Amino acid sequence: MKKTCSLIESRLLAAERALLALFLGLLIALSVLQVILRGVFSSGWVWADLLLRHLILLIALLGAGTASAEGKQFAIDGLSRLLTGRSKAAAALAAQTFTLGVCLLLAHAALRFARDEFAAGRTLLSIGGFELPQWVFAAAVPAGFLLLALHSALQALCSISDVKA
Amino acid sequence: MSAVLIALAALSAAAIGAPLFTLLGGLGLALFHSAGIDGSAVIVEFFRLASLPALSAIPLFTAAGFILAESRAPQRLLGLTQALFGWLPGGLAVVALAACALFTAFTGASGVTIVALGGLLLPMLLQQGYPERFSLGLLSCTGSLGLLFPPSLPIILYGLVAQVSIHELFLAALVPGLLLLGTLALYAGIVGARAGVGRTPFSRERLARAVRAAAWDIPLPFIVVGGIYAGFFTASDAAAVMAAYVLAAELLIHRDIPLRKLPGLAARSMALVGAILVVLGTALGLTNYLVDAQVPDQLFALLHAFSPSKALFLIALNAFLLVVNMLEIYSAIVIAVPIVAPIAIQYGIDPVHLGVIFLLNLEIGYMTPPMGLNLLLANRRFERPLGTLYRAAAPFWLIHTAVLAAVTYLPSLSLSLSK
Repeated sequence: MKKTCSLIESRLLAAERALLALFLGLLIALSVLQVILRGVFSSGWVWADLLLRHLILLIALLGAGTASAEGKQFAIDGLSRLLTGRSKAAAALAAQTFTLGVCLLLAHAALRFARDEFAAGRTLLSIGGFELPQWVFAAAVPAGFLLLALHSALQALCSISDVKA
Repeated sequence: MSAVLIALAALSAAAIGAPLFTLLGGLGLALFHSAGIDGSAVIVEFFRLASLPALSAIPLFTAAGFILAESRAPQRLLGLTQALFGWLPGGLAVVALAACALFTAFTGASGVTIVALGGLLLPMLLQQGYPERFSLGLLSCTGSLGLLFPPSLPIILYGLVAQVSIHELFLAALVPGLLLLGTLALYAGIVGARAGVGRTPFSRERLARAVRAAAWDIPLPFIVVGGIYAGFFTASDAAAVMAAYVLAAELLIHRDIPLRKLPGLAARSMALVGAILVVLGTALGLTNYLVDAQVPDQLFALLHAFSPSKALFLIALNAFLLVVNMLEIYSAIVIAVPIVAPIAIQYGIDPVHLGVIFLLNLEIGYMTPPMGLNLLLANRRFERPLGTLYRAAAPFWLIHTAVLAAVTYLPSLSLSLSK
């Protein structure tokens, strides 16, 4: 089971990393373009600024996913440094289960938030005739917390085999 | 009762290593729930990330910093600073200070300085005859030197969280930053002279060679730092320009990093950004609750009854921040600023001045035993026992603390430029 979990986790991580590189490229390109437009032509695109800000939200959630997978989330982690062997694995399992629970609760709250945004039907930005509704990005928040929940579930499954071993 | 239970649960989750964002998010959900407010309030605040001004500076500076750290720019920077300052008494130590400060400012003080520059500088310092303890202490403390100079990420984050002008913060931090750098350089000069360290004579050819090698790196600080101080760029504009410049200079001109490595590097830098921003996003929710419940006001009333004097409050603040920084600098800013800043303002402390105090304090936290991040990194990088490093860092810690005292009690050091 541990093998399957690590495999899924590494595939997921690869997909997240590819998307992150893409989004970062887009972020850099759009920001530089805006600086040039503002500096040289004293104008800028309002939609580009809004898109940029929401792109960062997506980057934050995906980046948090990879940080979870790579064990790079900020944590205080006082006790588990002192533990070894099975007790360390058990502490890790407890922390991952806690993380899973909180991420699911956050995802649930975020789902209600996204549903409200959908019902409100606000337009975030319009490029020419194309209108992008705000709920698209609002929906990314529950998706992001579900992603974080998935990472901690996979890690918890890995830890179960560590505790047994 | 339920508050006690919630606090206990959060503390035990923290102790076994649950990520900080789950503690903040979980606490936010629990507190809003207990106040009869729907948990989506936490997410409304999280979504507010997208409307924070200057937010794009964080991913852009981080990405550019990661690329710089991976390139050979650190080596070129060392060559250049040595050609410039190597002939001074204590020259190499001054080189180390200047190079590390610049590098840390540009890479966001995430500890890469010790890893990237420390390994190069330690053998150089020892070879020139600097005492080992001095060299180790110097390099352990330089890991965070530069936090007070633009485009330091912690300053930007402080500005975002405290809602203070980032431009004013950069101006305010300049004199304290230079004061710290100057005091350390003076100390280095004295130690160098006492140890009878040799000087490298100034060589025009050497300088010309170093300038040629770094020709494409040299404009970067002038564009970014100069642009910010001159008010020509906002922090996010400067970040966009720096990201584009670094990509062009390191990938296309110097070709230090093969193109195929770029996506991986981009993803790695965004993992740090994601980790910072989920903490920031969930903290926004919790902070919103705490401010609504007037927790900072109550804390102020409590503190004020205990100590009405501003000076005492500042001493307590200094001590408190040293402990908080055991966390790690970004989390420390995100969590402590929203609670401390309103209290400090009621004590009559200027929010910009408070920012400089905060950042310098956190910089000291980096080298405070037992858990200061720089000491742990130096322990790994230089393979010296922690005890040795604690002793080695002590004189530098004292100098930093003296400068902190000056910055804390002489607000004009920070405010003369910014106001």
